[in-house]
Amino acid sequence: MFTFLVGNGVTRTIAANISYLLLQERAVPGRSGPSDGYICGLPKGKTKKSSKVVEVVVVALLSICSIIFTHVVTVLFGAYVIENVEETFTFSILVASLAFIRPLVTLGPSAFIIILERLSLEEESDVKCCSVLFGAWLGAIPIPLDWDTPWQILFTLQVWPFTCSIGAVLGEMVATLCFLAKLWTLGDLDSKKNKAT
Amino acid sequence: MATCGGTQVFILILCLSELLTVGILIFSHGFLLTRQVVLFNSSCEDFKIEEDHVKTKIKESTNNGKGLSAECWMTPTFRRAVILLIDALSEEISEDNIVDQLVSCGKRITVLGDDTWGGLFPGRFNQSFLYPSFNVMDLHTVDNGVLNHLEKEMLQDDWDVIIAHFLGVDHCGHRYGPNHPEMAAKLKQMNSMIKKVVDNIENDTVLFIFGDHGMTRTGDHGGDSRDEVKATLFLYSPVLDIMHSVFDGEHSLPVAQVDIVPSLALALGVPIPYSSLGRVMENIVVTVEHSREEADHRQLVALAQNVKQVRRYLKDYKNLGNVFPLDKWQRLEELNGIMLPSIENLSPKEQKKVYIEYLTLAKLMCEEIWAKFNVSEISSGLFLMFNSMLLITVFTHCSFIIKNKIPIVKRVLFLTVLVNALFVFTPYSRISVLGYVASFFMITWMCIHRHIFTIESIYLNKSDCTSLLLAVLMCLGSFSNSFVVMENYVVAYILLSSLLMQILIPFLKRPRKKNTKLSVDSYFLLYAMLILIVFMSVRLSSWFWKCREEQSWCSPSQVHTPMTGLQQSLRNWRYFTSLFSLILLVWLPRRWLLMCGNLNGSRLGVILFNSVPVMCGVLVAAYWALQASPTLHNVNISEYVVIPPRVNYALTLVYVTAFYFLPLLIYELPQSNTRTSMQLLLDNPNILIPKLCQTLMEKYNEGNQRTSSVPVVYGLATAVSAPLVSLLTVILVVIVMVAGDGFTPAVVLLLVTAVASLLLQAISSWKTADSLSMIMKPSWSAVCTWFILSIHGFYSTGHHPTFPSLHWSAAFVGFEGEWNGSNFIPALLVGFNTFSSQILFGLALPLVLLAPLAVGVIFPKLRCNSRLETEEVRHGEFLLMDEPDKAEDALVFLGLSYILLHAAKVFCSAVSAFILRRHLMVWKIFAPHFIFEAVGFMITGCSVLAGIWFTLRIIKVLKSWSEYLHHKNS
Repeated sequence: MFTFLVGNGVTRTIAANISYLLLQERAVPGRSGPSDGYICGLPKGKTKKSSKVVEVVVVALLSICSIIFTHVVTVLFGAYVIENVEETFTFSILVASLAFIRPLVTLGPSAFIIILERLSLEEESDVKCCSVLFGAWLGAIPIPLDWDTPWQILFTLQVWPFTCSIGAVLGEMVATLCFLAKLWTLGDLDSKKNKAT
Repeated sequence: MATCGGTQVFILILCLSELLTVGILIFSHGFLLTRQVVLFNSSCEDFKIEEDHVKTKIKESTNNGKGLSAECWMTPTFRRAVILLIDALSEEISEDNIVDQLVSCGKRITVLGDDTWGGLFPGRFNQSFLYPSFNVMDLHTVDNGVLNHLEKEMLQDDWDVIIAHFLGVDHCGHRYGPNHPEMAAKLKQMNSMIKKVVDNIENDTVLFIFGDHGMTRTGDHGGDSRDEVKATLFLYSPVLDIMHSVFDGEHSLPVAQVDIVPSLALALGVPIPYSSLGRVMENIVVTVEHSREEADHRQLVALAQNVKQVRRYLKDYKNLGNVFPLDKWQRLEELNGIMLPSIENLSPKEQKKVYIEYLTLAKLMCEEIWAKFNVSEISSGLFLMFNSMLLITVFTHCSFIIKNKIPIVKRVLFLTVLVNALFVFTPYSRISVLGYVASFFMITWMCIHRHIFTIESIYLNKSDCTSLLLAVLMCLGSFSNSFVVMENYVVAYILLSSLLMQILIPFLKRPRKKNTKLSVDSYFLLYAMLILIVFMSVRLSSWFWKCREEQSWCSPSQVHTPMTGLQQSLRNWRYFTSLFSLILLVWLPRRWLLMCGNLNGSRLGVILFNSVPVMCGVLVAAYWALQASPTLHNVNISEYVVIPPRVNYALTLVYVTAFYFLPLLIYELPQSNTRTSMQLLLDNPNILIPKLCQTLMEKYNEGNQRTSSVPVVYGLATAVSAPLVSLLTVILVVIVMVAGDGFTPAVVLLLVTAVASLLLQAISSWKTADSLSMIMKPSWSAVCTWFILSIHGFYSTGHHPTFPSLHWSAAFVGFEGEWNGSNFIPALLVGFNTFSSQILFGLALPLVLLAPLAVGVIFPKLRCNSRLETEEVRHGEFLLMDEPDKAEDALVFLGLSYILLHAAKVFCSAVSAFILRRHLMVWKIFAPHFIFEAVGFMITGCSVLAGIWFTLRIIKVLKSWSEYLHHKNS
């Protein structure tokens, strides 16, 4: 899935991400609309089809904005402005797609407000958003190290943004595993309950 | 009552930080190297050369005429020497040295150049042409003077040694950097000079040309980087045959600087100075006139003499009670055993090998022992530091000061005195033992008082925890060389993360109600803007980082070159950016105080604040302009360059003293006519808030006593912070002046970051606080941020914990180098420049406590906390007067926790320097890091104490003022 990490072609990354996101979209079809109880920010009183189109456009725009936002924050945190701009941009596409675009796709245009409002440990998208960002943050720690260790030579490239990307992906994986484990135990409980009854 | 409490706060902080300092000093005593000076001299009779050889050489020396009795230790190869020293000068001459040896052998020395030579060796020189030197701005006086005399002198016959010292290249490097047309001109001048000198060298004369150091990319020196340590050595005489011998691989390159002295001594036939450790360059005692065997023999004799001298020095040094590493010393004795009885049996080649091994090993050994560690002292110092930190931690976590005030402070004072008194016994006992005894005292003290320390359940909320964690992470970075090398990046990263977490956590923790939408109001926008400002200013400050030697990828930015070193086109741009930043620096605090209504009336403080910072700013601008004026070295403007800084120092001193005695910046409206106040309000819309304050005071006094005459006071809500802010303004201007024009924007960025983070802290503390007392108690997260900011400031003002990156130019602000041999003023100025961030943030530390209180009054909208909308809130900083106990507690916590964090950083770097003392990079990375941290810690401690003392003074004066007011009104 994450073979794109090795190359740094922006287009390849975008393609991989889009396919990943589409998979996500397929996987949770029931959640594509705005959640109950929250304002979705769309004008009401339009026909269903056109509102759907508008929603898609808004989500796309917000996704691009989130990528730019991630890029700016990365630069503010110390990435070079001109040097390595391609790497930085690739990295921000990765992080934005894992942390921000997925909730946008699953929760609709008002995803950010929803996440900021509730931020609970129960919701998958909230936890994943945080864990991806945290993983990317932690990934910056090995950057100063100058050990001649294999994992640095392996890529035969500068460390940036590999450690951060790997951190982000690891964050995603850990969160996913946690939820899997949770689901599993829940399933166990359910089956036990079923047996008892 | 208030004074008593205030003094106690001060004494408590002073004692605890003093205990820490003792630990640091013991550690550094064991860690940093020392060398004992041996005050013996070599004399001609020490190692007489065998007679038969003298005979053969006598002919030669008599041939050369003059009949000098110079066959000491070795027959001279040359009669005369010309030494051209290009660059700076050496300093302490209490030991035996080459000049004295030359003089005592009857050599007549002529010296040309820098007037420090006269100061270093008074009465030694036959003839001297010395010129005032230490004005770095002056590139030409010394060099032109030397050039005028050099040629004439060389043609005369009344000298044996000429020393010509050229300073121009060095000064040029300091002023313009190595890549500047001015430098090219200077080097050309030197080249033509060398050509002339070489043409005049006769067969009996040897020419030495060397620079005593190189220079960094910015033209400075004093450190240990490759660029600085490597310099040129050029030896010439028509009869010298160096090339031939170099191909034999005899004297390995590069030649160490210590090798010059024995070579010169033996070449001229004078004794090698007593404590020289150098190895003679064998080739210098051989000329083309010598046959092969003769040459070999002469080389052997030279080496033998050199070995004897080094061996005597080592033996005497050992007899003085110093210890050499056993294995090396044994090997040396072994070699000596080979040499003594049977050296004649060996072939010349083997003899040479033995001698050379001896000399090389001796030097290696000495380098090692002068870098030796005293492990027991180190560990005792570390243990003491750890105990003091433990003590401070205990003090920051219990609020017992209110309950039992006097005994505890007195006992801490007693403990400190006891620990310090222990060190009277230094002559009788080892320091490490005393350190352990001191720690033992501290532990017993803590055990005795454990019942007093009713440690309340240590409650740290989430944002405190994250901030502390980040600060600890930063401290742990000192264990890895790459993190130390990249510390500027790490600190900026940590700073931003900690600020972000501090903002996000209260934001996410706010009470959630279902079905309420997130309000994007002006308050939210302000929040976002502040965050953006902080991020931008921290990121932009990376422009001002200096490049460490190890940061190979880093290219130095142009802010580090002085304005005179810039291209003409960039110069105006630089000057006006600096000027704009300077104006901002003076204007911003002024605007703030105007807003708070502190600048009304005609108190002395108000008048001073209206005039002095502006004057200082104008002086600084004038100073930069004078410094950069291109005609400087022709016209006598250079005499006036020192005036603006000196006036500035004097003004600052006067200002600080005046503020110490009359700190208040409040305005009491004359009573009885309320009309004037209305008029004032109409004239000046800025005092709308003071008006608010007036009603505040009315209500405040109504509660206490029902009098008809209500005093109207402006600026009472910021009465404590205003004098501190006005003091800091002037100090900022002085910092900018000493830092140089390039760094003014950096200081402004630092100021903006600090102010924005204070505002953010104030907002978040108003958001999360449940009661007023929580606002009056500074949080760990606020202190942590302040701590990280102070470290960030160190880097963003262009510093690094390495010696090559010190800004030596700071020593010349207001001085031309006429310090009369004392190092106090230059050290003070360079130190002030290097640790300006620590000084600034230490002095401004009370603002962390005061900011939420002041912000709550000045921007009432930001409070937005319905639980706290009581009447008291509007008192602002006057709350501290209402509850002096809480104020004292808060100040104690603030000072101690800030000092504790800095101590933790010093402790980590000390432990890392100790653990990694065998690391390849210890003298390049870890030891300088520790030294800078330790000095920074001491300076932080002093400035924190000064800041807190000043705040206590303001509170005291304010208290007596309000009592007087009560008195008058009742």
